[in-house]
Amino acid sequence: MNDLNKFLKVAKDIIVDPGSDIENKIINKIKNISEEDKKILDDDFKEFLRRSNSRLYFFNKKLKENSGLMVLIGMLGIAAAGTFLFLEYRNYKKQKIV
Amino acid sequence: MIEGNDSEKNRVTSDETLVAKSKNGDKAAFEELVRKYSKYVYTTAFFMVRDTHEAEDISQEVFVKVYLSINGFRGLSSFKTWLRKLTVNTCIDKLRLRKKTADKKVSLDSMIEDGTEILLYEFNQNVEKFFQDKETVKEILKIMVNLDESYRIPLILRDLQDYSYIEIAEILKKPVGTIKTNIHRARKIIKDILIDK
Repeated sequence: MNDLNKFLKVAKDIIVDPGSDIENKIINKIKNISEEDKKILDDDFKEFLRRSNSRLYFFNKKLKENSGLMVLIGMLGIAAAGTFLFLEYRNYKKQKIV
Repeated sequence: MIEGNDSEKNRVTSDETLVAKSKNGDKAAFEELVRKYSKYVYTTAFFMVRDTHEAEDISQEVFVKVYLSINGFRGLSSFKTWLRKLTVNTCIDKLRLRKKTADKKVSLDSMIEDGTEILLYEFNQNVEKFFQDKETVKEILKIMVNLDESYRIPLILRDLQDYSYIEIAEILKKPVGTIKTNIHRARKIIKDILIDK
């Protein structure tokens, strides 16, 4: 399986040559965009555009993909806050005694 | 390794410049983006829809979408990542609309005879990369392209497009567990066929 992974990694660099002048076809298409073509910017695309430009969406995505890390950061945060409160309380007690 | 990182950085910087110029209406800059990424988009589309003409149509559609909405691209991800996601989304929409490719067998060999060539490129360089196991990679792609859609699409998204399992599950609207199982089975099918040969 390790070998397969190695080959699949290489396969990422694969380019299928279309055998036709695809670049110029696309460029010509762009030069001649009709009103009809603009209909491809449908609701699904608008939703894609909105999500791909949303920091909140990217943050949520990272949160989902690294849930373990987020839990760890959360626990460390709670531990830090707990330590801070404990130290503050101890100082307060000391001052009260003095 | 360091050279690779530098070239990656240069590519991204150059993309940022081209995107910025395109946003300002510089058509030459947009054409440069088309030249740079058209084959990349075509290849992604081809492996997903397994049809040369449809892959060409999708490539055109993707770039029309990019052209019409480039001002809305804020650059939270790299241009290449954005383009890749847009291509994959467009392909998934097509696959949902057309289930005809599900049982279609595709012969990469016959495509090569028809003039379609499969090359191993160092990204964005016009020289073919030297790779001694090239035939094995081609063999793997031949098997991959004929896998059942439920195996092929998750495998392509995971292994060729670097999507996470969660992202694939969201795109294909299937549970993460199913996606992981299908990818595992797809890899096993490829491995078994390779061993038998």
